[in-house]
Amino acid sequence: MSSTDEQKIILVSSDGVNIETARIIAERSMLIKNMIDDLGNPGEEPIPIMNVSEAVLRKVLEWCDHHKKDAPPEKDEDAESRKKTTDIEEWDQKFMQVDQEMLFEIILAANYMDIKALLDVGCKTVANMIKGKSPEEIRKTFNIQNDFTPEEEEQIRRENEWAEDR
Amino acid sequence: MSAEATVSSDDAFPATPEATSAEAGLFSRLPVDLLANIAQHLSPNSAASIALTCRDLYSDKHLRRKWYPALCVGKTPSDSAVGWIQARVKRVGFLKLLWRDLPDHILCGWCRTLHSKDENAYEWPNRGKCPKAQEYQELGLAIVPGRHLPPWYLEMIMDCDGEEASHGGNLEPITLDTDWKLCHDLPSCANAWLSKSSIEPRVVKDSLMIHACQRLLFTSRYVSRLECVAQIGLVIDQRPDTELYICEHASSHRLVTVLEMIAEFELSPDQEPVQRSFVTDCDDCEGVELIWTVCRHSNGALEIILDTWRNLGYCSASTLWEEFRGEVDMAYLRFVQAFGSRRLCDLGLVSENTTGWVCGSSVSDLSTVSLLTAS
Repeated sequence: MSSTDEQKIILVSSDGVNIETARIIAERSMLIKNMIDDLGNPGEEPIPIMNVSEAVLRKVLEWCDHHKKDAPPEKDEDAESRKKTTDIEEWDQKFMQVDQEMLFEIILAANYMDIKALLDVGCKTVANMIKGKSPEEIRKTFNIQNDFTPEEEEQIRRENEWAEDR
Repeated sequence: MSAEATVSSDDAFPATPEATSAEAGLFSRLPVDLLANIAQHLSPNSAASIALTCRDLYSDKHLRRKWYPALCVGKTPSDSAVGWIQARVKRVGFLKLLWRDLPDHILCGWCRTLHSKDENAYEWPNRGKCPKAQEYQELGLAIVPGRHLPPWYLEMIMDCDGEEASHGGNLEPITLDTDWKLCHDLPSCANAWLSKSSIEPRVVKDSLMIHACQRLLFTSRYVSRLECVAQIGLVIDQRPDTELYICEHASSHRLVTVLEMIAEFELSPDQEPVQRSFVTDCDDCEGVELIWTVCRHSNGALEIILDTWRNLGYCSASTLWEEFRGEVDMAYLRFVQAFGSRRLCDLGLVSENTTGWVCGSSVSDLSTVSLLTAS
């Protein structure tokens, strides 16, 4: 096990930058773990991470480094208990204090690299950004284009019996 | 999921002229499965709020599954008044969010709908009362005979911000404690009994619980009559709204067990005080628990005590209760455990040894004891 801990591997970002990291850190990603298991001879050949740029990959590895000692994700983890709460631990909250573009990229990368815990933290962060906001406030927060006409908006409110407009 | 795709494919809704800005929103680029993941972390209110931002999100089925069942039912009580109040509170939470975008509307306290203000329209809602007010007044939650709690009132308590009113002050107006009053069977006043009721609201584990205790005391003279059991049966079974209020499904409650207990006491020759109780609930109500107690006093009088517990669900007025929690820890924990197991009798609310006029100890007694010990 100790040899695995110290083992270094090289990842290649989508923009062609080589990043060296410990195997134990990189294996938080099920994608990388499966690649290493399939290919054998870890560390000999750089592993390409097609869809993730250098900046995002470094950020993701920073998260993996902090969480390298966490219990490995179980296959049949209770999905319900994972999803019930929007609580995020303090370190993760700080980690997620990035601009929206980066947050979005991290979520996509976590999804692509199959890092369930990071994906959850990302989705919870987005959920927390939505919490307690009105539709218009959400549009402003996420730059969502309102493509309803005023008549349609009124119709929706009436159909759901939220408002009685005349 | 992209905004452009929808605009071109959906001719029924013409595109708005403004082009999407250089940095397109996060949501328009998010794969559907990730939107589903985010939706799982959202409350119905938040899900509805984001669904109303644009067409794509309004038609998203993951979001819809979250908000639609929670926010589009409960305009009128279908089966359960308690369930209806809970649904209304959820709805109001969302309407308050929506209201922020509609400053020219008012949020109606009765029908819980946003009414548009219109200078030229007839009186309502610019002045006066919602035309549906009377209808909703009658839809309130009945607790004890003659005592209706209007829905908007309960919502106000359950949905308050915690700073608006103090915990006790807030619950105070629901509290009721009547003295014994004389009731009788017409035409003969000889067949008299006494009744008494109390309502005590409580916030337990962030839920508003309304505990009502109703007592009927049949004097020894009444009890000594041969047809006593049948008479009592008539009183509690046939006149549920005037003597003893059980729940809105009074007819579905079979009072056989209560009457059997009474009959059993009748047959017992000794005059030692005895007391029996059992816990039941209503098949049609959510969050309602009933404790029936029949108590024969040493002087021969018979007392029927009905404790009803209605759990109205999440109540934000619990802030101050939280502060108290350290001091009333033991009582609180017992309550929470019993609450979790849905067995309020486990709390000693009905004590086997109590045969006095005042039966059992209430939760407030438990709290008071612990508070005194702590100070």
